[in-house]
Amino acid sequence: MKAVLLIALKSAWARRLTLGITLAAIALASALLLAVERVRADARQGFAQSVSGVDLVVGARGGGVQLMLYAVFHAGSASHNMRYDSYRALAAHPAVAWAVPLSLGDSHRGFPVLGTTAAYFEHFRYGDRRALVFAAGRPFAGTVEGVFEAVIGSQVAAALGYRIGDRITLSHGMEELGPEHADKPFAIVGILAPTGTPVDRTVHVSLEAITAIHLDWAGGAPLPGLAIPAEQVRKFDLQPQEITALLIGLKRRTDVFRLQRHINGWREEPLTAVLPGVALDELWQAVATVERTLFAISAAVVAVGLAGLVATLLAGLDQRRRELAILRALGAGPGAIFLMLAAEGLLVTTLGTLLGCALLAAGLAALAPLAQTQFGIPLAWRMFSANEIALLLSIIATGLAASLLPGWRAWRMSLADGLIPRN
Amino acid sequence: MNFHRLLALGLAFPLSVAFAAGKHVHGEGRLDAVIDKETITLNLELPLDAAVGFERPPRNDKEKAALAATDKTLKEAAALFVPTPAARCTVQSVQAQVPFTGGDDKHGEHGHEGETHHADIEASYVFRCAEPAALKGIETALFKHFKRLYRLETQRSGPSGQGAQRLTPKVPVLTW
Amino acid sequence: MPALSITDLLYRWPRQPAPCLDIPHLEIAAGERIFLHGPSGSGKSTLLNLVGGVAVPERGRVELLGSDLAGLSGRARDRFRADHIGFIFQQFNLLPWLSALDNALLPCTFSARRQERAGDPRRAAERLFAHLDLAPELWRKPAAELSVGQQQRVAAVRALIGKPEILIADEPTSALDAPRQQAFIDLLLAEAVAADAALLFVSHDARLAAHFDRTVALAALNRAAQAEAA
Repeated sequence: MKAVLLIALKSAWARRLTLGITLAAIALASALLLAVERVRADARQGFAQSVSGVDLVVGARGGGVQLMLYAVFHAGSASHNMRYDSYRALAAHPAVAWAVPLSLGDSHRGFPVLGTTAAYFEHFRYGDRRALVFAAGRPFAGTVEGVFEAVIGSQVAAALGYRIGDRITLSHGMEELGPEHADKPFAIVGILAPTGTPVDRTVHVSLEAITAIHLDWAGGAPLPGLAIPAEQVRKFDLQPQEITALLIGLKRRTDVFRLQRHINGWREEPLTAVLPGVALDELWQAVATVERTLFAISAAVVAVGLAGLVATLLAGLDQRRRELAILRALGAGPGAIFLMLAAEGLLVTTLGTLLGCALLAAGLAALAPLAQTQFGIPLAWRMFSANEIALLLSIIATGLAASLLPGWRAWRMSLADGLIPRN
Repeated sequence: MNFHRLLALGLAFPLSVAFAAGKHVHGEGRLDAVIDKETITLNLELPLDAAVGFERPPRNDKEKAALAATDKTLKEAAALFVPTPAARCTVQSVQAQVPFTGGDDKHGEHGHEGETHHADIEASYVFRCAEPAALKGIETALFKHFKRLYRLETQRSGPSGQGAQRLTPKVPVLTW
Repeated sequence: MPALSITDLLYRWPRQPAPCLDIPHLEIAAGERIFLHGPSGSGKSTLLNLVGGVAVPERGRVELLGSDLAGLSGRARDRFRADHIGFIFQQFNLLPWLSALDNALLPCTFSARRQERAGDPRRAAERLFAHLDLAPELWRKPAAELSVGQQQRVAAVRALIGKPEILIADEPTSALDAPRQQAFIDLLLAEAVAADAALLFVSHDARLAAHFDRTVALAALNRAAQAEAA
């Protein structure tokens, strides 16, 4: 049997060009399939990492998923703001342990700016309930004197090369070339350690700062003829009237649904409260169809690759009739002939799948930075998950099953041809 | 191009309609579950229609009997919800309110812009578990009792985080 | 014990009404060298398939070295063929992607007996190559790069290695020109004598029949052909 496999190997090597092309097709197909699975799993993992520790996200009445995406991932937009008074009232609710207001809408060179309080750095949790850590500096002061202070995420710092003490200006809206709040620069006072969450891509300032830079603005543009210099904003009342959303942590988990209902029935204004983890699951339920479609497409690509393998092997059989007859004459049984063909198919599939893994690794290394900055999906290289190993094995098993057909034909042919093929 | 924004625009909008709070859909119930240390708290909301086939005061003895039977079913917590047996959970308290039974009929009944009347069953259950570490899920027999119920949207908050799950007659087990 | 003994053999192609082979008797003694003559289409290939144990007769016995092939399982027939028969075919009978040497060694990979009888198979192959005047620089060349004549000699070495008791040559010289044909046959005969092997040489070309112990015309032997002619 070892001798037969060695001969099969040498025979395959002789046809390395055709088999190589088939192998490349299988490699690309399995890399695609793995990539789809990997991005799916890592996106879920990454998103789930971003919402730990927050019991409720509160915003103006609207869709829960939309609210969660905007408040946690700074994606999309909020339809309305909620009142600052509602935040104060909820923060004082006996079931609430902490409440952190969020104010979104501005940006700095494409990175979202988040107006919040210093409590954010204390209560925000990611991953397995991990707290934020300062790689350098400190939280913004949140006082009248320290109103123009900013804390940046690790990716903001890395991408723009910022250090403590650098001064930056914010833009109105999310467009990189939006109107600038150029007259009111911020000093970077803190840089956060990497978290693998949207925090890394965020510029954090105080709620008061958001009010301050919009003092002389109306309707998304500076008010003509009215410019309030940075040093004078301190004279104004900087407490905001509105915030975008509110993160709430509870004293006891048991209260979560009671408080959710309480907020959903809020009398002063229409509010929505969602459990971020629930909203995330609902999001996944909604994208499941897209995911399944993508998965089905890439599985079909794998099937096409394997069909190509079968076609190559079958087409090669006619040219190899004499070769197989010679092996018969030398004592190879039909079983050995079958084994040769099946082994060839298995070899090509296995090598193709392994090459696919290598392609995936290379692709991840090349695309990980983009996936992180553009899509917020952490795609670091990691060992294969049980799911992925099952996928790999099923590709190989399918390849083996597919090469049984050429093997069977070779077996039939070698029986019918005998020692001298009639051709 | 921002993936999140795309997601938000393309997906959140239809979702925002579908998942708006306090929605009343015939055949669709809601279940909220909190698992906190050794305590499981369940809050159940069912359209009355899913249980008895009507949402108005009973018109005859048969309909009255149907309401009473529903009330009885909902109060048998240990038969309705089965947490992982190894966790050894026992029923601590049961509260069930079926509209049009007993004196307080207003609770759970609400109108939608005055057009049609809806009535909801509300129930809450508390279990206490001797081995909370063994707790892996909760199976519900609601679909067996209420054939008109075809879907239960669940929200959950527990030691492994929060989540949403859609329970159906084919998948009647809440897991985490 | 005869090398080959055929008794009352009848063979019919599947779905054919008339038999194509009907041979009352054919015997080849051990070490005997026989020229079997028959025009193409006279059933030579079929006869070789039967002798090689690849096809099974409808009736009658094919005995090789005293063993009845019909009594063996398919696997055992494959093994018997590998152990006791050396085949030489028409042109292109080598595996083009193996070297001359690897081609010659193939029987030893399929048959432990041939390997054992060859002693050191590699040395045995090299000795035979030298006997057949195949230059050492050709030994490691892929078979596809050898001339037709060189290929025929490699094929002969492959048939001879491990000293099988029976050599079967099927039109081995049809690709050669006349002078080379005779030279190749002389070589083959000499090696058969040296190995003390029986040789069954099959060809449509009756002119090659000289030098053999005996000539048999398949047409005279095969009653099926006679019936067809009549």
